Amino acid sequence: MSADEGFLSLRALARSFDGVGAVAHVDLDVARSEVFALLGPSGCGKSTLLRMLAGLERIDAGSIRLDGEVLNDQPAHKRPVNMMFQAYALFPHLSVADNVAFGLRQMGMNATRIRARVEEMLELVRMSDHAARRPHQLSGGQQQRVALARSLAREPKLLLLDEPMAALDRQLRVQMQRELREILRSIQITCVLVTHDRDEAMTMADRIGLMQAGRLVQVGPPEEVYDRPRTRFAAAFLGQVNLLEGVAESAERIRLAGRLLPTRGAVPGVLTTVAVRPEAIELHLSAPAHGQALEGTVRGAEYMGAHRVLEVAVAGLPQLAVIIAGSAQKTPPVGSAVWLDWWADDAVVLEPDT
Amino acid sequence: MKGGDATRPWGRWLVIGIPLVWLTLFFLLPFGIVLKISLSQGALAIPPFQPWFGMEDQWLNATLANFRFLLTDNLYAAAYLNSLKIAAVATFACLLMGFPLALGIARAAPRWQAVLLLLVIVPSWTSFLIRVYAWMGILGNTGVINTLLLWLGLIDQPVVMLRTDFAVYVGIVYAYLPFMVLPLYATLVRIEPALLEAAADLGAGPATVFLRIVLPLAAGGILAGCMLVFIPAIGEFVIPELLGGADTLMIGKVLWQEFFNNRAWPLASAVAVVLLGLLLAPLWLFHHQQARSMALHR
Amino acid sequence: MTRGLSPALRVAMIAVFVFLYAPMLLLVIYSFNESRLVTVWAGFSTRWYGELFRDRQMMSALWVSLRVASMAATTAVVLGTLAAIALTRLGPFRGRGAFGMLVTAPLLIPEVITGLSLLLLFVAMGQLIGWPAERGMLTVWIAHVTFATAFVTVVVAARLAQFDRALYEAALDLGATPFRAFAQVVLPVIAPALGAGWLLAFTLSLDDLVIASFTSGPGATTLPMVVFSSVRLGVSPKVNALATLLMAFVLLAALLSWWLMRRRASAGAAMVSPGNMSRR
Repeated sequence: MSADEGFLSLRALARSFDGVGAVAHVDLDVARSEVFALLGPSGCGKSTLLRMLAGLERIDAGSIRLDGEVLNDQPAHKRPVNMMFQAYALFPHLSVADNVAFGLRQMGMNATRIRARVEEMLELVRMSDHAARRPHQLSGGQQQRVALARSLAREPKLLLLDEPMAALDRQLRVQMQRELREILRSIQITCVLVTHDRDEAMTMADRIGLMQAGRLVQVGPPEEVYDRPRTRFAAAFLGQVNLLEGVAESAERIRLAGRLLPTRGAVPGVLTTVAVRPEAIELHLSAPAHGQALEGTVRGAEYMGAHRVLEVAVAGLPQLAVIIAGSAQKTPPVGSAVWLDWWADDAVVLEPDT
Repeated sequence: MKGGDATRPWGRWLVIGIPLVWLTLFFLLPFGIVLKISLSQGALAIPPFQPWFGMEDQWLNATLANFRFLLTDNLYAAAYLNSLKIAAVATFACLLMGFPLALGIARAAPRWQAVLLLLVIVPSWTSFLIRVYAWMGILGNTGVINTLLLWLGLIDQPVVMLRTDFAVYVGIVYAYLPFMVLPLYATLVRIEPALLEAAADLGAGPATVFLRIVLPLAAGGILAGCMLVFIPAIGEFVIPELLGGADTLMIGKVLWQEFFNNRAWPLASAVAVVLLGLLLAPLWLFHHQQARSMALHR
Repeated sequence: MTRGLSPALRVAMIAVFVFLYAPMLLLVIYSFNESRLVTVWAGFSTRWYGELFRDRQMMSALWVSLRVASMAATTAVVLGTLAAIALTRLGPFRGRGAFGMLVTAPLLIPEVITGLSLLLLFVAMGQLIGWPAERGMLTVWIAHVTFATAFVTVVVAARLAQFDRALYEAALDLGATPFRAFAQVVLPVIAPALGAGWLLAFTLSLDDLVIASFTSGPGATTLPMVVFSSVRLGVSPKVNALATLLMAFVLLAALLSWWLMRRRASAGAAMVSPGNMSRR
């Protein structure tokens, strides 16, 4: 492994509260300039892990290494790590410029250099016109930019973002996500962000680490984690999914509702769960020639604007969700018979949940 | 908040240690000395008790005589009981006056609440001594009330009010009313109007709503307010001294007299020890209630 | 129930406010009475104010009280703030419950007991280590700090409990040592509470009769001690004048704090800060 790949490396990192493991034995490597998202439901330990990186939470076991240096015993104020806090934690008694200058003053930088650096940072986040304002005079999006400028001012080796979009309303989120991503890419900073929002993780990050009950259950690029989930939890957390259980007949065939449907890498003779995304299912209005499609009845249709979600009942299986694009004319009416199948790569064999 | 930032322990111990040392030295230790002196014999000396430092046989000097004396002279038992009675009655009067006020403030428009609360608090910023003193000019035989009543012809002899237990009640209620109103307001303002509407919707009349919903929900504030009045009122000195009569027995006054007039320091100490013992139960009750409400509203 | 008060409640509220303010108003009126007697109105006069200012004993006692109160308030703010941090921000430590009880107990312990016990301590210390050699301003200061600290602790702890811990952590994260984070971020943000605590401690010290009577010595007579000895025997017009001046001072302070509160409230309404969002 090159030094860049293991720029940030966590080994067997653990932290528990009152005997309950909040972070349990986490191993992780983040490359230089990579944006890494820790994704998981609330209480999964992702925030605790982030706070351990920042030095705000004690480490019970394991190690944190950044750019070859062990951070374990460095207090928060000595780490080359800066964090953008969830609700930004802008100092209410200081102006925008003084907020950005705060970290620089702690370094003992001289006033001229501080002024230049503050200007540069405010320029970067397009807040130069608001330098003299107080935080409470800013909108949520502006506060976020100031918080970002403040945490970048010290040129940290590692930037931490704690739920960066949680304090913004839905409209603003998409815009700020794009803006933030561009800034992070432009300055090539290594960044770990924490979020419970899968869309945020997928749009912002190079790689996602999915956390559950203090453990990293799957790490990979967004497409890989979405397309090839390893567990039921991973499959369901990243988006809508059909989880279907049947006995594998061969490595490439699973028996579902009396038919043999395609999959890959199954173990013959074993009860297996496959995950099929609703958009990966192909819907036929008449039985396909191969004769191995699932036959079902349309039970309902949900109009979602760009697409529709059909609910299809198949005897012997849980109700399936099928996403189809297109106009109302092409949508089979409720009560009509339909046939479903998919490509082998789209039925992912899952490991049992840990 | 899950704790544990990497603050160095010595800073932590300094933060706890400095106030701890001060309070141990100037609050806790003195109680020990009071207890010690309450067990020593009085003497005609300066200070007026048998020395107890540097004596090898110091514990031989220990005596329960002061406490025995408190038991034999009925004055002390009467003073303790009377203090409890006066404090209890005054507390109840405070509750009767404070409750409608707190309720009214809690139900006033939000922008008025701060102003009304300030109006309740402002008198307690002026001197306690002067507020008690003000009643001397009102309740006296030639005071405002008697002058007014005489002038109206309702009475032809001044009604004796000053230097009676009545004046003491008025003084305590007047001085301590804000301490009753504030905790009452704090709990009453938290009662959701929807709860009362729901009760009314379910067929409860105003009286039932008050007894079954408002009172139980305000119980914590009532207890806190009562303790904040009752506990300090028991040991009150200024009010019975200025407004009470020579026969108004209150234990704070007795302690003062034993100490300053009779120079009976060991006896005054014994009075203090017993008084503190009496207060333990209400103090515990208050702390318990505070801890509970802290846990509830965290 | 709708907002808006029933007539009965309104009347009760007005009655209680009259009860609270009428006695003070009467003091003000009588302070301008020419006559020494309360009953007789002998015409408007500022005579008693003149006599008050010429009263050497009163004025020197006022000076003693002001000095003791400002020193005691300042010390109490330091101790009370430390105690409040210990109670609200350090997380659990062994004996925290007992510490909390110890810090707040002086709030409710009768003054006669606090006063007596401190005096006995000073006497014992004087015998044992020769310090304090005699009682005076120093001993009153110690006594006032001890009971005022409890009040400051309560005021500051209430503010600290609302303090967003993320602000402190952000300061650490930006390279401030814990001490600097406290001095540069926590202190400025909680400054209004410290000011309120200081004023409260100052008022309490300025007002205290009982504890000062026990712990004071010759040459350190405080204002309440002088006032007490002069009103013990009956109404004194000079004290009426003093009371009026004191009330005017308090009224000004109250108006000021009301104005500050209003300003804060309107600033708060304009705030779009998400700082009060719950954290996880």
